[in-house]
Amino acid sequence: MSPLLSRRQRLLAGFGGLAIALFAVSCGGGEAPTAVPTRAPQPTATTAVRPTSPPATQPTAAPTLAAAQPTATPAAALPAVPTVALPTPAKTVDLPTPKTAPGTVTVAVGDVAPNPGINRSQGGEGDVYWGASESMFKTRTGPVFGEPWLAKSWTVATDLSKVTIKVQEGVQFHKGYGEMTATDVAWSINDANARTNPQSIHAQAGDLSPVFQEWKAIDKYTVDAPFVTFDPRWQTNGLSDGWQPTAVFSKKVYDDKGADFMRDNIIATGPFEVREWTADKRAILDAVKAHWRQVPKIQTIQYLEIPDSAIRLAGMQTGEFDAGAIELKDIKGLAAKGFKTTGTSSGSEVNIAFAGNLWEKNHAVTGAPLARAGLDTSKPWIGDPDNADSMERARKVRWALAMGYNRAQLSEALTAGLAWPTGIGYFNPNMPQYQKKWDVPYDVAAAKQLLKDAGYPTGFEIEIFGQSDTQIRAETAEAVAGYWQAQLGLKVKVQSFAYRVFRPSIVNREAKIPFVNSCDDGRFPRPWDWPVATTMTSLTRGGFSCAVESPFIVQSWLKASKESDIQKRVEINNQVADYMHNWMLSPGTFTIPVLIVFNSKKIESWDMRPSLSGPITSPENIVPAK
Amino acid sequence: MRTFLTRRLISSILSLAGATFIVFAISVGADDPLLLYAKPGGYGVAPEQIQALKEKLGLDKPVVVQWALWLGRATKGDLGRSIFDERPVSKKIGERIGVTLKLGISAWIFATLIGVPIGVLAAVRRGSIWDYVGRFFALFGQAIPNFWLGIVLVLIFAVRLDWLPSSTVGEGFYSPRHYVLPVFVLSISTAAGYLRITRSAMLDVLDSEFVKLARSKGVGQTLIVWKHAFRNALIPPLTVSAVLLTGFITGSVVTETVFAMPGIGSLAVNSVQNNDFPLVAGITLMFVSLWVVMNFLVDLAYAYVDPRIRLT
Repeated sequence: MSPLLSRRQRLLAGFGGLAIALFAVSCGGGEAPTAVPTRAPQPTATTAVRPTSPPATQPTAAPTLAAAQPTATPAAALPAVPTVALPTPAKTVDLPTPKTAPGTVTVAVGDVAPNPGINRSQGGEGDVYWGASESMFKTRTGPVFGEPWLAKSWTVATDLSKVTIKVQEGVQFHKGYGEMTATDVAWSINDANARTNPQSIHAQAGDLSPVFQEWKAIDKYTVDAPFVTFDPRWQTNGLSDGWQPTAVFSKKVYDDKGADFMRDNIIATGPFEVREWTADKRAILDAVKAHWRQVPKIQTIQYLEIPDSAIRLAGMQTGEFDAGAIELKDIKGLAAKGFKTTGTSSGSEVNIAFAGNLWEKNHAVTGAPLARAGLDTSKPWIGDPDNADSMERARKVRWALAMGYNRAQLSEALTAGLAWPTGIGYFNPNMPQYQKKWDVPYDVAAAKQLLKDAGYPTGFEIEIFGQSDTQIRAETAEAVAGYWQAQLGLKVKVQSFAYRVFRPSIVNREAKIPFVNSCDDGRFPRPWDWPVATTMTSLTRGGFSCAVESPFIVQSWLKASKESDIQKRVEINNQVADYMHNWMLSPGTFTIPVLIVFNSKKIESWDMRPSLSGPITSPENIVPAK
Repeated sequence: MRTFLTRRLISSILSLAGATFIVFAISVGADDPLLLYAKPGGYGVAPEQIQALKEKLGLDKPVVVQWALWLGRATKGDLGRSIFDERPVSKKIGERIGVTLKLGISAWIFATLIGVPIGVLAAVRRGSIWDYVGRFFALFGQAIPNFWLGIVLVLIFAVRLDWLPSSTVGEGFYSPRHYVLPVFVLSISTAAGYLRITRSAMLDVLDSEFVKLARSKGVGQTLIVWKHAFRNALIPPLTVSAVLLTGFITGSVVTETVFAMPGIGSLAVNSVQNNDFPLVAGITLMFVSLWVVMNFLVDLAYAYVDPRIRLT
């Protein structure tokens, strides 16, 4: 019995116990075929795969993390989200008349998350995206991924030991709490950083910790940020609105009012100030009339939590909502009525992680032995790193499974064709650096032959997890399971329940069934040079993972993380792509574009800044319809 | 009577303690709450941070000790803080209970006003078209899935007819238009239950000897039905009504989710999914307390109505 099932059973037993207690009280879910790998143990070239060596099976030495070369600020080209043809409305536009108040834009979202105005309490991510606060760096459409925002300029020390940042002058906190200074910046980042505040539960507490030491204000507008380890993503991972930002809040508020006040009140620097933020209900934000950067053209924006996608769709059709996060399959219908779409120029990959392939034996940094409960080599898709035959058999099985479903048909059925087919995870086909050799064909005959070669001519039993709380992942799991069952003759069981229930098994590296996820790095247009596939390494032990750990990937990651030359980092990642394709640890299905639908009777245009993780950004760019 | 009350009081306290311990132990034991901090996109959580958080949250102590400490604080009105956003549990519950109470009480009143009269009508007109309509309503109301009914009603009354809003609670203390659809959806099943209970009780009473005697004495039909039969038949629906009201308050999560009403039900589900054990325990305490109090009141009502219960 898997740990996962036992956990569910424990939960069920628990609720059963509770039910008994309460009882006691009350009673007294294509593409053109190409050739496939066929020969063991070396990966073969029939799929245009570049042969790579089997993964290292010896413990890796603790790498030297300190880099000595100077570096330039990384710049990466941002490709555009592929254009999908949406229906053109008839001459008579069938749009509902907005029922919302003039000057107020109402946006229906799936979740209004708790967002306290203090970083230690998970604050500062949603409110950056939604206009209440700002981060040090921002993104924009164009060649540069990170550019100044609250940071005005910066200088990275030639020995990569620190970065000195000049912050903007004249930036005012909301509600008269004074000018933002370097002291506020240093305090805010330190408050979030687990290294400087062990009790921080900020979402990026663990991301900032291995990169930054304590930030220190050295004058009113200058802050020193010493590196623990230089990371080429230092501007973006945690400090930019393009990727999980950390906001800047007022230290004065903390000193005068205390942490509890900050948990209930968001006092930041964004173009909107918060009137109300009630988790699971709504967030109402009013425009700041004299904002340092941009004064919004609307007076108020409110985000309503509407959990059910059918109700969000209904509210758009009645004019109750001016904009909304609508299921992709419903977007074409709305577009035909005259609704428009906008987005953060991003996409989220829906990949399948073959959990349990835990091939690292010792932690890549500490060298400590690793517990690998998920390494159950009785599962056909899990290879034993100490046995070359096992590794090759499992690789053939994974390739068979990856070729066993039609990506284009999946996209058509689940997203009305708005998503684009994706061969392997993390290496998106719409990135300019993508190479055709990384495609994965839909070829049932070849897949069946691989299963036969691997010793499973009649198939096997397999489970797949699709989280019930993310509709597209649940539906993808069901659909892929259908292909595997119908096309490959496998006996497939779909596990569908909340992600929170499944997560412990991947954090603890106990998971041993394929699961549908983006695995964090599965984001478009993630810059190609960034160190990739962190969650397939022991580096994230203690945290989220794909329940896959590879010595090759971790060494590549560490190599790229201390490489100052962008082109060399790109080459390193090309090798990782070869590896991922060869070993097929995380095949893709499709990449879903992040789109927001809006009523053009209320909103003329809404240009969102690009963001890899925020589905809605830049409300200050909303131009109301006349 | 005093012995009866004392026994029920002790039983209620033990039930409260037992239920909270079970939920507390499951929350802490089934999963590590600290995994809440292991975010996607992260490098994990450092051992030092884990230790600091354990000490802060008291997770370094045995579960029984954690529960006892929690219970001790709870008796003083301190239900602790949510792990997720570190806000006081009592405050979070306080922010959400209003919507659920309004929804639950409205649905309870509606169900009573619909179920009981139709039940009486079905019994009095037994075998007539009214009886068949009532029985169909009872079957339909209890069989139909809430989430499906909710979405269909939104499509009809909000999208097609544009008579009612599709969701949310609206502005102000109580926006009737926003409560029409959710109240109907939440109460339909209970109204059907009321109908069946009332019909059955009325049929029993109408067949009783004293009603036959009243008829033989020439008492009019209206007087027989509403004065003699109805008052006696009302005891079963009245005694379950307290339990049904409690059920509305603790079991409205589907309706709250469909109609985007931020009540206690959705808070409970989110807290379980987050494994936010202080919040789970706090909500459980509230739910169980509600059940205990209401059942205690029901027991009292029984004892008052039927003196034989006090003696057993």
